Amino acid sequence: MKEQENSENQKNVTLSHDVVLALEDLFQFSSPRQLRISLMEIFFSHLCNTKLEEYKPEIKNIAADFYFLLKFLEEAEMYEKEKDI
Amino acid sequence: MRKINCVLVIDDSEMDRWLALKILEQADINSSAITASNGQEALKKLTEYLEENNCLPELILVDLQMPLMNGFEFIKKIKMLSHYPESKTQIILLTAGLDSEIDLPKIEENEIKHILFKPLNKEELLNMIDLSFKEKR
Repeated sequence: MKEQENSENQKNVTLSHDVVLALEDLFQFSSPRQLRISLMEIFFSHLCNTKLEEYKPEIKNIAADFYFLLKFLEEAEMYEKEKDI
Repeated sequence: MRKINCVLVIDDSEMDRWLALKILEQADINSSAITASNGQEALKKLTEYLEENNCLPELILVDLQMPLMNGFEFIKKIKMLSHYPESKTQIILLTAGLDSEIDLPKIEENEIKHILFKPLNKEELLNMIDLSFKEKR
């Protein structure tokens, strides 16, 4: 039983490894805009690009959450720009 | 998938325009692209495109909720253009959500056949583009 759990955990780690690495690289950047652009690239590569046969409801939900985070960051950026003007 | 002469992407979100263009660019289906952040700007750019090319872009991806002129208003206006009836232009409406009481009657009224929900999925969008060109308008 324990082994099975470990194996499932291991599987989860393996599945998200690319994303974790991408996020680690991403946080090296300091500019909020650069951060958002990099997040958009991650969104495109790992979610938007998902094949329909693998685009299951749970992946769709993750895509929707990620998308609304990006929208929030975009709106925050616009608000900051307007404030500066 | 057939090659499209030009795509017009209308969305007030820079991110959504970027995503749509990125999908199309990767699929290599369009020769050129025009972008606009609302219906008004899109109509202005369409007029310029018409003057230069004497035809309309074959594909239009238009967001529903936009400032100044929304997706419904834009679709109504483009269908009034003299070039529209003879054009092959396909319109896909993009939206994050629909209000069944307000939006559904307008979808019927404007005879909108193709709607995609955001966030876009590459294969979903490409399939819909393919389908729209296979169907008669």
